[in-house]
Amino acid sequence: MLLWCNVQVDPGQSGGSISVRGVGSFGATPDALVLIDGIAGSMNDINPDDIKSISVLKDASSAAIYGARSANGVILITTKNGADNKFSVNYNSYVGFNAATELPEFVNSWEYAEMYNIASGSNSFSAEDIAKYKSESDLDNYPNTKFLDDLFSKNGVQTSHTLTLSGGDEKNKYYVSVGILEQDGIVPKNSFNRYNFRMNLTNKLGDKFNLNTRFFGSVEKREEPQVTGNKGQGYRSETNRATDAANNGGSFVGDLVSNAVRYPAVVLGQDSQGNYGIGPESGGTPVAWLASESYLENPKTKAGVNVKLDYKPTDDLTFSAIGGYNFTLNEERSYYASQRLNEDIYLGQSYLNQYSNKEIYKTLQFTGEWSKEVGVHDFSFLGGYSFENEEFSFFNGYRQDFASNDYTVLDLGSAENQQSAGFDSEWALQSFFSRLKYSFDERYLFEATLRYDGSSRFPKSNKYAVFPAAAVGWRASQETFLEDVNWLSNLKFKASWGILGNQNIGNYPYQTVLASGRDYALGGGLSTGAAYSNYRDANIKWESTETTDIGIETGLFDGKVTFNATYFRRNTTDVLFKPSSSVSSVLGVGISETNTGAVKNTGWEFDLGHRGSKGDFSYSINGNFSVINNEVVTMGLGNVEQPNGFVGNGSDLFIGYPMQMYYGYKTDGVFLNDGETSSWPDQSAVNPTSQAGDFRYKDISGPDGVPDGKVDPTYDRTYLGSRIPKYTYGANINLNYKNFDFSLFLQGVSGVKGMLDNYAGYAFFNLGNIQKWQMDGRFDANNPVRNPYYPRLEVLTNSGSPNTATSDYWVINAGYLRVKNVQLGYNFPDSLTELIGIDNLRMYIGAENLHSFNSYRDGWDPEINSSGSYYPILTTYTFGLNLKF
Amino acid sequence: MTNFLYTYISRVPSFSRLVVLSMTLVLFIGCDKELEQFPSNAFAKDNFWTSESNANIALTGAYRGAIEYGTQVVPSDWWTYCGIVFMEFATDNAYDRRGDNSTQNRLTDGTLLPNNNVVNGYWKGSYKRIAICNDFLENIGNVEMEQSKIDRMAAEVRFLRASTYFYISQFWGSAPLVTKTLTPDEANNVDKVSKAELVSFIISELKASAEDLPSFGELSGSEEGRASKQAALAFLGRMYLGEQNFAEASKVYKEIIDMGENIIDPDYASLFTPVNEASSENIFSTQYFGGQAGNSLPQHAYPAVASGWHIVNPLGSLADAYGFDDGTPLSYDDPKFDYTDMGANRDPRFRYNLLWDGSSFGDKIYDCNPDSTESLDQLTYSKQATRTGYGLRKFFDESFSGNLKSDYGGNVPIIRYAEVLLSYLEAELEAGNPITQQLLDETINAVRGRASVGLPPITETDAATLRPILRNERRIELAFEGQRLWDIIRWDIGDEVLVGDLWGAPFPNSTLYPTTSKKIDPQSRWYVTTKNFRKGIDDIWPIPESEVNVNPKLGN
Repeated sequence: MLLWCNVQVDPGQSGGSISVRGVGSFGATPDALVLIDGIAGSMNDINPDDIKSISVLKDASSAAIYGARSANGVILITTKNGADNKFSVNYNSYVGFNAATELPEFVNSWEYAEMYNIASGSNSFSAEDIAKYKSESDLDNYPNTKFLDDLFSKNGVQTSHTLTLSGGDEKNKYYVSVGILEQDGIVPKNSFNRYNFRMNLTNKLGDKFNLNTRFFGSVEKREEPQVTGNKGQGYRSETNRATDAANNGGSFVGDLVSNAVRYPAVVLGQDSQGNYGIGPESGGTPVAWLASESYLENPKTKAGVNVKLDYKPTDDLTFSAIGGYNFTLNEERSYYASQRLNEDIYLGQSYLNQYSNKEIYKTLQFTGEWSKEVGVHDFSFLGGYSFENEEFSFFNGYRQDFASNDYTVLDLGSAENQQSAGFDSEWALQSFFSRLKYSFDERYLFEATLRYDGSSRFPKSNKYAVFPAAAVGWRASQETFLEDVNWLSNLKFKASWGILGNQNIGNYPYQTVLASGRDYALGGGLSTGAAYSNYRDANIKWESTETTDIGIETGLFDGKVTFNATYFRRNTTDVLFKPSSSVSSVLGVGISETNTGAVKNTGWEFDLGHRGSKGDFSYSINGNFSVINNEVVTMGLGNVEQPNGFVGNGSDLFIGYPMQMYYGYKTDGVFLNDGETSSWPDQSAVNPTSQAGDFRYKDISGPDGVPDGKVDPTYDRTYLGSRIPKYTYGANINLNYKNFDFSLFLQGVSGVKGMLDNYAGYAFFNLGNIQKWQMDGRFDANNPVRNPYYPRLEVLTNSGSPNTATSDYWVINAGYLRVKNVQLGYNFPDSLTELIGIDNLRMYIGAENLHSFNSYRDGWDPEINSSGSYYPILTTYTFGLNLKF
Repeated sequence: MTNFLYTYISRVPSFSRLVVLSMTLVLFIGCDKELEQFPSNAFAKDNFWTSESNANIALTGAYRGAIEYGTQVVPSDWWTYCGIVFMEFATDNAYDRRGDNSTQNRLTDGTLLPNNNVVNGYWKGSYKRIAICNDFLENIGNVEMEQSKIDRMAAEVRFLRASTYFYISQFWGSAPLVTKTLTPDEANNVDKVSKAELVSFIISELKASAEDLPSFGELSGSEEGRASKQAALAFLGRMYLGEQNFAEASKVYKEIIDMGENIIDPDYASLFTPVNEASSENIFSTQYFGGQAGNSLPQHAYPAVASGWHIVNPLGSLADAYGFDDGTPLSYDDPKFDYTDMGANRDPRFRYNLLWDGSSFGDKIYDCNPDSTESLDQLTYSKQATRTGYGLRKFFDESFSGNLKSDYGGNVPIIRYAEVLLSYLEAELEAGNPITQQLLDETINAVRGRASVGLPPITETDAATLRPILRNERRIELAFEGQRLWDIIRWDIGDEVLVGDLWGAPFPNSTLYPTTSKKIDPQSRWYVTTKNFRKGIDDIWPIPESEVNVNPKLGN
């Protein structure tokens, strides 16, 4: 499998990062570069129906030409163009239905009450109370609310329509498409819609010029429910918002979902009179919030143009100039309403945060290519220049105390404590590049690329760096000595090597500043303050990734069977990393990126394909398998030798281990009774008051390298696994029979760990709920077992307890095999389509994320690593049609 | 680079060569400038330290230190409401509603571990403020302004830094002494210095800053909240008390008293609300400002009936330390004691500081009876409400209406003149100096005799008998002001007051009490928790585990 996508996305959120071949850096963002018609963009920007082809470039040599941001692979997307002399109209449409793949099951109110009594060792809920809960006869006072089920109650429906017109003649071609996408989330009031437009024109101007013009734009809007004013955060500046987003807070996922996971069934949602429960924190509950007049609207307008002019003065020579301009206006209006909960309680806070952020992306690229064929020698030389620049301007305003939830524009908020803020931000990249290609008789292939990239994110002395790449290939099947081997249709050996740079970090990483916003009230009013807050390395430079690939491509029996294998090694050095957890807080300030550390990703990729046909039946089967070994080579600054021999930051990065790892204790079940604790190694440094049902942490080592009879954080924590899958595999099966087509895509990972913590993982965490599996599997003092599914129940604060220390109990196997996609289509026969005057009609039904096989916690999808703020992975059933006139 | 361009260009025909060459050159020159970018919303350090107004901006940043606004349960600084008020959860004054697993509670219940996030929070906050101060002190000298202004600002920042080290010395004893800005490598390799070294640094810094600071009376209205000579001396007094150098402590406190610029305010309750927080009794306070710099304590500690989270639960031990209004100690058997209105006939500060069953809070009634199953504030182990039968009233303006998280501007005092007087008496007493009635009247009696409290004067001049009276007075006067844990540690009484069962309010008439309280008490007090303070262990905090991870030297 090529890509490893992080898929946790709610409708319209531009989340989801794409990693190619493991994770290349623990510093600069290791996402692949997405190029749409040669210009950087995002997968979310484009209507899938407009895509002609997608290709993924993994090796350094082929990625090298595509820019200064290609170190972590390139995804090339080409959009459709009109065809010669053929006017056609296409209409594609589908309707889809969503539901969560899995949802955790929480206990009923009476079960919660019983469990709470056990966990707290109290009679907080009397037998009488519990009976009343159980009878469910007085739900107003003894409710049984299922907040999460209520929240994810909707059947999300999505519909999509795309209409395209294309055609042209020899000189001029056009492709026009309009699309509508409407998505309803599985949460009420959560929706996304997008209207997009594209026009691709190709014009031959005279004999020597060729012009490609692409206009595109979209208007989209995301809507989400919100908590109410008393529960929300008040004024949020752009910086606050960025921090919130990083911590998964502030959004409806952070506030609404995590509290729906958290609040137990004994909390009243809404009573029979229509009054809302005030919730355990006096700010209402998800039921009330959903019913409130709070809202979030995020309209986004994008428009862009991409012009490419080719000039071919002679047959051997091509000059191209590309200009691109993308404009995005990203607005957000986030209103937190006041709300009447019941007769006595009116939550009066209300406020509006409004943002209006602008992004302008510009690029200019020039290339010149000279190619020449002399006999069996085929040369080409390309030189180029590219410039990219992106400007952001942020502006936001805030007002509070709205007289009415019906009038929610800034003007109608109270003048008191109104806020406004704004700033600008910008980056630029400039590159020079050249490529030499040579092939001999199409048998021996050689290619070399040299780049010279400069970034605004580095200081003057280190702005520019040179990045070379080269590739060789040998098409052995073209050799005379293999001519007679008939079954071998293709055999190619290839190798490539290259170094590419990465500068995917904040815009101003090296300039030493005093951070603004450190205001403080002096003299009875708020005074402007600034403070030293970040240690900056004034000499940072490009992070670089050296990639080596060695591979073989084969085709057997006229290509009916293909087999490819590649070995790769990617060494990332000078990792641009903020080593915050490797630096003592005695430094007193945060730390900005500095070139420290190295990461290595090595692995194998295998691909096996077979296609064939018999009569009306044809099929193809493709399987792929890859192994990735991710390993931190060094952390530079963060290399701290721990007494137990681990070298790293003491928490999640260690030399010789993968990134995104878990470091913690090994457990050996729980204590069956209090008496057992004395015969176990002294674990008071982890759990000062071990008792029956508490984990027995293993004494792994000690100062002398052998178990020392004591369990402590220094010697007894170890590597427990990583969130980066070691093995990824997939299979693609396509079957065609007469007018039917069927496809099935399976995808899986293994050698991967995950963890659910806080509200998602722990029972009674910070006023939280308890899941059914935790209740059923809990340690029971009356019937003690060594390895219960869940340890002793206890009431936890938001700091957890000794039992929630990271251990192999919490870090669990997150491997899965997923039926990612399945589709069955039917092409109506020509006889029928001709009758109604159309060229082609195909209908299909399909499903995405239909099922997964895994051993993760009950009710949780293995791709969810969460503390409770999450959006479920969705199963989508679609029904669609493709129509062509 | 140019070579490569040249070779490339020489191969192409002249017309095209010209086109491309000119385009490239224009862009090369034009766009290189675009590669020089500077942030728009921060102050570039190179040209910041140039003017008095910029110096004021940095001074404000030093006062802000590591204070963060919004709700917090892990202190970002010693001087946030969490850093001050929630520290009482580690004492016999209050209990954290979140339960025994609360990391403040764990500081003193016998389960303190080096990964305690409260210890880590204070540690990080300390060195953050210290780094800001060090940066300020390294640069303020370069600003072109009057020397006297430079001196004053430097003195303020040295005061801020020294008082941060005061806390470090009192809770960790031995710790790194950082007096300049560090590089990451230096930070990862610092050594601890002895407590004695820290103390001598603190003393000399506080003395020096007291020299250059204006006196409290000289602070203009627009300088409210800034440090004064009295503030520096008060911390110096604390330092001497902590070191048990009572003679020096006494001298320092006497100096503050003799300056005569601070008062014991007749009105106790309003000292802690915006109404009267500018009183000259409040020598130095954390300054909150409703809106952008609000105090979130109302959200955290209001009772449930007023939409709060009731995190602060005064313990019976503290409640019962407030005697009757005639100066006699509390007894449930005394006819003056009324179970149905525990505030009746009590030391008025009981009523100013606490909520009790049936009392009013603003226009609400605080109903925390264990039998009141319908009440939000019912005493249980499960509701987000009291765990002791008491709630917090101190610091609250009950007429406040606004966002509980962000709109309240009430300050939190760090040093009050009442503390100065009580500390002065303590220093005199512990120094072995004779106690006169005049001394009592000028100190403890001034505090408890203020108009709004009006307790009869103490007349006990025998040191041994006076000591417990004084300690009790200090406890109830300064309750929730973050002093108790330090007092317990320096008086070395953790094994007396933080060992065994801790109880809440008595509810002898409750029908549910016998089945719901986890333990039953002859006096029908609600069971709260059991502490097991380990003398010799819990009186010195461990260096945070995450710090020892990166610098194992700190573990020794």
